[in-house]
Amino acid sequence: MCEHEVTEIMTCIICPNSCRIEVQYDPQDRKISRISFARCPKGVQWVEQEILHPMRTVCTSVRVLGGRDPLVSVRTSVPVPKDVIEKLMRFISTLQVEAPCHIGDLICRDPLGIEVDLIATREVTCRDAQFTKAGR
Amino acid sequence: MRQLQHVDIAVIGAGPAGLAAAAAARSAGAAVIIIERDDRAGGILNQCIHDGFGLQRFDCALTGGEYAHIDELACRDAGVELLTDTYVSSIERTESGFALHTMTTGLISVITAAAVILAMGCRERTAGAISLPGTRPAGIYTAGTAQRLTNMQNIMTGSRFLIIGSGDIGLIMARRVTLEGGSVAAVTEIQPYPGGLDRNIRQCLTDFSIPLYLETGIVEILGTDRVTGALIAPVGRDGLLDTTRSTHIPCDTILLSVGLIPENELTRSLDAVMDPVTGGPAVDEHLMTSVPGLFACGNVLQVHDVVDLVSQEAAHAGTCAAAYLRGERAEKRKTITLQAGEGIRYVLPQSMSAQGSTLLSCRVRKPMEDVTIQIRSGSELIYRQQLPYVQPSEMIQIPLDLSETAADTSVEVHCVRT
Repeated sequence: MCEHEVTEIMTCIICPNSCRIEVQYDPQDRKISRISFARCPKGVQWVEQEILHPMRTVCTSVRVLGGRDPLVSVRTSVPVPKDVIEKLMRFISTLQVEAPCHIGDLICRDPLGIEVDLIATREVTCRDAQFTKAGR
Repeated sequence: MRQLQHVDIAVIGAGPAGLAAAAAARSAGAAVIIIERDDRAGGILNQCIHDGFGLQRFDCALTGGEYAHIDELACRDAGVELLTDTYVSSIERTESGFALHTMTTGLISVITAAAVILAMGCRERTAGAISLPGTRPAGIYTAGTAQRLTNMQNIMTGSRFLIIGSGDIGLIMARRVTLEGGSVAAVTEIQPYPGGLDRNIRQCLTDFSIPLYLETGIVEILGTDRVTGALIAPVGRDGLLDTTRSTHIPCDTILLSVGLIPENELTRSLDAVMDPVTGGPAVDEHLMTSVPGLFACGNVLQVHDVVDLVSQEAAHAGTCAAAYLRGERAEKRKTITLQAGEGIRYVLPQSMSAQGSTLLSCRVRKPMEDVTIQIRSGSELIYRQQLPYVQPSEMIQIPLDLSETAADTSVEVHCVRT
């Protein structure tokens, strides 16, 4: 173990097994020397990624015009690098779409130019349709 | 106006438990109605816009809405009737089953059912429930209420937050308000270990450098019209807060994530035997309560940490309720009671109506490493499993075969150091 190396216990977030994986690495050049206690290969891959270039799926919401709800929930089509999350959130705060929205709808194509789209994760019917349905 | 309707099975609540129970009961041949007080199906999942649902069931990380949508479509395709905007005000036993008194806009009606599946979920403990000390200014919310306001109604509840309690909803909301431009001063937890799942500590707190103060409680809430801050202090050796070491945390909003209570008013009104530890009814291996024909599943039965397990449990309740209607349920021959032993907080089901197999759920009392789960019938060891670590926030489930276990015995579950 060289002098810069640290040992960290990382709880894997891939599945509810929540393996407590022990990793030894050099935080300066991010070189990993040992990964132990992962119960599956996905866990080893996750730790490597988490140290070299951590990624997260961003889940948030976008304003909707004319919908039963004022918001449609959205998520990124794939995980994005952790350091672009703030930039992405600032962009999303300027977005507005029109009802209806359906789960899986493309809400915004590749807003950051990194081949990541925003996808709707909630059904938002039109406000008028709601009144008709309830007969009010 | 008053209307009457008869069904085989009435399911109360269209959250993940109600939807899975209804779909399973319907596919087993029963005529099923779900009664839901909200204007849509999905329950708490509708406000859970974060991902991580369905990892076990679908092998991918869905958002709450996506997960609920799958089950709602399954119910629709199977021919389950969904009645939204309708509240069950009371329930009573009749000669042929149950009568449910319901209210919807401008309409009171009665739905009769041969069997009922309770799937009402749970609600949050409030400031009153934990005797929160200090003033009562505006700006104190339960985490779930703030989640609904933020994610469904586009209302940001504050700008600088203190989160009391480290339950999963509190952790999720710490990340949520941070992403929405707020800041979280800290999360405090009175216990020496977090209440939520490790994965949520990592993605919601560590990712955003939000501090988690364990063994720390609230000395006083400050503010008159609006929250201006709180005094927090560590737990001293005597178990009380050490106010000589209190710290002032300026904040304008406080979110509480201090536990969930199964919502069992209807269950109690039928005099079902309750389990004081789970807060839900006591059930047998078919998830039937002490009231014949009354089943329970999901968070109304026991508070779960993962929705996949709710769906699994609820589907079992639906299948068993349909079998009960067909009269397939075996005569009550033997009763085996299941009890929590050393290191275990509760065990479910609480009893077996017959020898056979069951899926046992339990939780440990405190985090432990290198343990063995032992299940004993008298002096006989009938099951053992070694686990590297256990914690109260993660439910343990064990498929258990009790077909060789003698009648009228007690089976105990223990968690001991290996």
